[in-house]
Amino acid sequence: MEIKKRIEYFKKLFSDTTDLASREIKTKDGDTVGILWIENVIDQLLLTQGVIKPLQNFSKSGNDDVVKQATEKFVAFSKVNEPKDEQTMIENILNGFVAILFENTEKVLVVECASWKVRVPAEPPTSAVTEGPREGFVEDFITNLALIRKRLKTPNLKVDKMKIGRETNSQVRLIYLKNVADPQIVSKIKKKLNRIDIDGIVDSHYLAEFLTTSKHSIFKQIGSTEKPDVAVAKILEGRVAILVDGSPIVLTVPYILLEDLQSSNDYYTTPARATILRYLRLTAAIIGIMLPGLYVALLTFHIKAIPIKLLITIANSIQGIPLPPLLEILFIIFLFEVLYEASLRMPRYMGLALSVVGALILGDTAVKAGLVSSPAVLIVAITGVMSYTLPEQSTQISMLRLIFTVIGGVLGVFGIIVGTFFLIGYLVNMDSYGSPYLAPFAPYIKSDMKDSLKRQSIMQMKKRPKSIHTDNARRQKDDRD
Amino acid sequence: MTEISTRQFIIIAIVLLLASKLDTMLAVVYSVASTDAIISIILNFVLELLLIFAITVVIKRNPDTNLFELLKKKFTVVGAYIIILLLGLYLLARLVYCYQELYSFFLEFLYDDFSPYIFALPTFFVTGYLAFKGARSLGRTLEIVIWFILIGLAISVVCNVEYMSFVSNMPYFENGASPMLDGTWRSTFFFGNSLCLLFFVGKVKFSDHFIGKTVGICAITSLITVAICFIIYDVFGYAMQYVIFALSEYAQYDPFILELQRLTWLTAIVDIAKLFCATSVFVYGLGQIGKSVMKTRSTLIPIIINFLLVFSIATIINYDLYTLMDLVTSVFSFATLGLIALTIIICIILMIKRRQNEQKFIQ
Amino acid sequence: MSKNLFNKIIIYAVILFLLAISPSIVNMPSQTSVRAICTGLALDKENGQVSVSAQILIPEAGGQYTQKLTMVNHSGSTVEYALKQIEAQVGKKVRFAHCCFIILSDTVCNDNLTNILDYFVRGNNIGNNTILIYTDKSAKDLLSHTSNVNSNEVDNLQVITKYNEKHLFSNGANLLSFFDDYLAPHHTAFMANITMKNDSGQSGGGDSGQSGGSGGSGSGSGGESSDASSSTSGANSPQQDTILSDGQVAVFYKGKLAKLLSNEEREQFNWLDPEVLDTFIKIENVSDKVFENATLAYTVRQKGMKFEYEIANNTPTIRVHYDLGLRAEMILQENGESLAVNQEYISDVVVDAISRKIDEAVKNVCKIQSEYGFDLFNFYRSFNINCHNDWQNYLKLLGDDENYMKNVQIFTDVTCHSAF
Repeated sequence: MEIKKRIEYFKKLFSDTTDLASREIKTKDGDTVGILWIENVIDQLLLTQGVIKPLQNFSKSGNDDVVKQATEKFVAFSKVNEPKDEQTMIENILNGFVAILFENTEKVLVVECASWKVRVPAEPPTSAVTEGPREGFVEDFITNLALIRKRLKTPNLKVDKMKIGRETNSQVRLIYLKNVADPQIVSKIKKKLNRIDIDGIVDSHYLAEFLTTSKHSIFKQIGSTEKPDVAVAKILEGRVAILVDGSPIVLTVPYILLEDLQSSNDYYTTPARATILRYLRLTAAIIGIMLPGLYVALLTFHIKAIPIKLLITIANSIQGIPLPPLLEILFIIFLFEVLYEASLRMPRYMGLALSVVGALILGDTAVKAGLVSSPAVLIVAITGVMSYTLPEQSTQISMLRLIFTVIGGVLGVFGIIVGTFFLIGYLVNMDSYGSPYLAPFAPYIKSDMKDSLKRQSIMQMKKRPKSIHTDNARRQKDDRD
Repeated sequence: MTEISTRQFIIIAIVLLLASKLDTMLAVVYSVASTDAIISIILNFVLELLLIFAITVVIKRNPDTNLFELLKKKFTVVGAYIIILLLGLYLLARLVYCYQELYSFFLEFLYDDFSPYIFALPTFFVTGYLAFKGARSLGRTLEIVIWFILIGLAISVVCNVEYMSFVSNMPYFENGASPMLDGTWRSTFFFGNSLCLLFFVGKVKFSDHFIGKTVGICAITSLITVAICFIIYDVFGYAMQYVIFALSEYAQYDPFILELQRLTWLTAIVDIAKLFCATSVFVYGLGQIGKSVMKTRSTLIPIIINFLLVFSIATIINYDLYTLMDLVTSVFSFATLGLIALTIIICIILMIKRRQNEQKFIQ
Repeated sequence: MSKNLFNKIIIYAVILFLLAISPSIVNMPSQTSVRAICTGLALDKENGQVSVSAQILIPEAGGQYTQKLTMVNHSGSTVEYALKQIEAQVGKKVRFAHCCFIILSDTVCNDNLTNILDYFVRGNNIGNNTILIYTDKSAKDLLSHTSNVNSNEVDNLQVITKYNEKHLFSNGANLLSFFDDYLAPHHTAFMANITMKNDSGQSGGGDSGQSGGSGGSGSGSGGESSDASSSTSGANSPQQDTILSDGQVAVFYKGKLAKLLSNEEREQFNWLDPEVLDTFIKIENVSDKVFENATLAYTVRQKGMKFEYEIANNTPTIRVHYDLGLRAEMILQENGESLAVNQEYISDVVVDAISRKIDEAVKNVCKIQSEYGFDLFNFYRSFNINCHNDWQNYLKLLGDDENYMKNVQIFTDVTCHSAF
């Protein structure tokens, strides 16, 4: 077939897309060679200097296979190969390869000239640290892989390759330490991933939902991080990291609730300070969940529990408010959530203005107008701040806050206690790939308590956490060894 | 199949030991034994410890079977049914009392008005959920909740210790031994909680010194509970007859704590947590009985039936704690005493039979 | 049953439950608008009826925490009836969870107090630890002084009772402790007497007739609503009075006021209470090697006491051995000169004088107790524990369990040392 016709043929395969570029080149021998590539995903300089120019100077010698000879011409490229079939060739072109078509042969040669536009690794906005590494993952999985490799220079680091999404063909990588991670967990994850049949995944969170065990749970069941140091620490503990091309969020499995209570910053400060901070976060999270519910419960059912001087202040503040306490708090929570959502979506310069409007105008004016009481605004504001001490859990906290507010308003403190019992009972039943969700508290794992709410010195953490199943528990040489 | 660790089993035993003991039980025993009440409590604790010892030995020696299978093997099917039904009756009575206690507590301390129907559904739902999810879930939940209970208990007790005189109830045996004996048998109902441990036969993963650890820790818990009972009796003295929920009343004894007010709330949470945990264990026991008797795969139906029974009984007695207290200090306690004795005998038989079997095997 | 079905049942049950109760709950107002919060109670007796005065918080929009409280008063044959009338007047249920104290006037205390207090101790509305305060004047007037929750007066009441609990012979008697003492074999309870004095030192509360008269007979609620709700504090002169405790203690025997111990008597009683420190002892006309007719005052810094109980010849005897750590606070010569002597000065003559003083005090305590029949230190229990059989024989021979204090004798033996 003539080169021109073959190019036309391939263009048709690509639905005559306009960004599929092609060119015919005359070699030294006068033969015609066709090249195909996707615009904007390849390095133009490399294309002209590394592909077009050598092809123009290319002359066939003897009767050897022309493709084989051409392959030798392109040794400067790391990836040069002959695709086995048409489908592979298409995938290669889509991944930034340049396809070279020769006359008088069906064979095709592909050389990698990809040059994706990638962000420079920067500090992720959601997990800033005062001391410690500031690098964050980017959208390019190759870069992300490099960031992990840079920290784990061991032949035991295994990267398993997968491709998910019929249309997106997203590259997925499973990263784990071969000698640490539990093979059963790895195969379980692989099995789950292989079962996915979806047109496309645009972010790792798509995968997270496929990997969860309780589909309707409001609780996070898959770990996620934007920081390579955190990902590496988790891999070292025996977890499996999952990289998805196009996502700066790396998933880690198994996940336990305690993980979000720990921050990478904890390991870059003294154990005592880290311990205090963890208790602080836990307390703040509990207050964030319970306070509005407790406030409504106390006002609606149990004013006897409020000290008299505080009661007088509150009673005077809520006097004349048209809404009952439950509806009042729900209304303010609704306002708070709307403001939060709007400030996230709005352009940054408007978002700033909105927060001022929200805080000053809405809050203050509503109180002055007697629509809502100042204690209620204060309560919701406090809980709003508290819930962001655990940024990864803030969505869960805000949902739980809503549930506890309703329960507290409906049943009082009894409802809050019942709700807490149910919550604990529910959480203890959850597990993530064999790791109990509330480990190491329930079930109690003594050795894991060294890095739970309190953090002991790294020197004392001789073993890997038992809550993550591994056959290789030893991290440090034990003095007794 | 092992479902709970030794630690979780011990925590369940501790919760059962504490449940109800620091609430209505103190007033009930005092109403009968007067100033000798503490002696009655000590005697009953000794009885309960004996029971725990017997049960732990049975659990240790039968790691691969459940209670019903074990009883069937040793006492035939009819015997097993009789024993199981007796246990079930006790647990049902205990469950009714616990629910009533919880409800009365809410009404006394937390709410001005509180409909029993609004109380019943959430309570049934949560305790039923924990019981339905099985021993593992129960053990793990208690593993977390126990900390709230212990810390709350410690703070509540420490706050009013200064009001102790140590001699409020002395001299003991002023009217001979009869009030004490009367107090002992008429309060045994509260000391049969540990019968529930029988339902964990074949479900415990043993650690070293399982029996020693369990009985030792239960003995320490009993000692501490007796000490708290002593403190409460000492502080309230003759006014004990007005005190229904002893620990909560005790926690707010200091009038100046009233101004801060809120220590009561801490004890309220302790009391509620304790009773919730205990009721969940009772429901679990009843669920297991129902499962064995009705031969269902899950415990859901038995649990729902239990709740309907409890609800009906509570409605019949009109949610009146005092009616239940009267029943408890008469028929129920005597029956419980018999049941505990029977259980200990059964446990001994199980031990002896086992030993004989072992000897036969050696021959 | 499958797991999913179970989960669905649970979810639907919860939703159904919430839906069923939501209409009533969503509109449930704050308790502050449907409950009247009572912060203090006063009980008087007028014309054979109980007059109940309650200090009630009525919220005001924009009000401060220093807001004045409203006082409502009504009389009735029983406390319960009077409270029901108060509820009818206020239009809200009265809640006593924030009630810190119940003030009892002498008119109430002259009858068996337990008849009135029984309502409170059995109900779950009021805390069993509510402080009981006795006043020899109108309870209502004293309560009206505490109407401003943040005023000095209410703090005074709190501070005074707290101080008494720690330092004087008068604990912060509460409902339960009162009943404990009442039901015990010695049947003796006590509480602080708190009264009002005006700036000139005159006893206040004489105006009780003006405001208290409103309580009236309680024959009908309708006609009395105006006077019942009118008695907000500050209407009368008591505003200028101050609340104080001059150390008097009201002793109750079998639920009735037996005796109001004067300050001096209370100090004498203090000598038999090991827990009361900070006692001041003054001896006069001391003449030894250093002094001539001097007046010496010591504070008791340490108070070691050992009790011995014995029943010989049908006479219960208590021997109290004192080991006092003293510090000289004031030394005054007859001519008015103060001598510069170390604070640890103690001589045999001083010890003798102190012994005599203590013995005299204790003997007087004995006399008062035997005269009024009460047993403030629960000697009954002490004898019963320490010499049980002899004590039972003694009671049997006496034939009258209630007058056992008449034969009780107390002997003292004092040693002193200096203490800082």
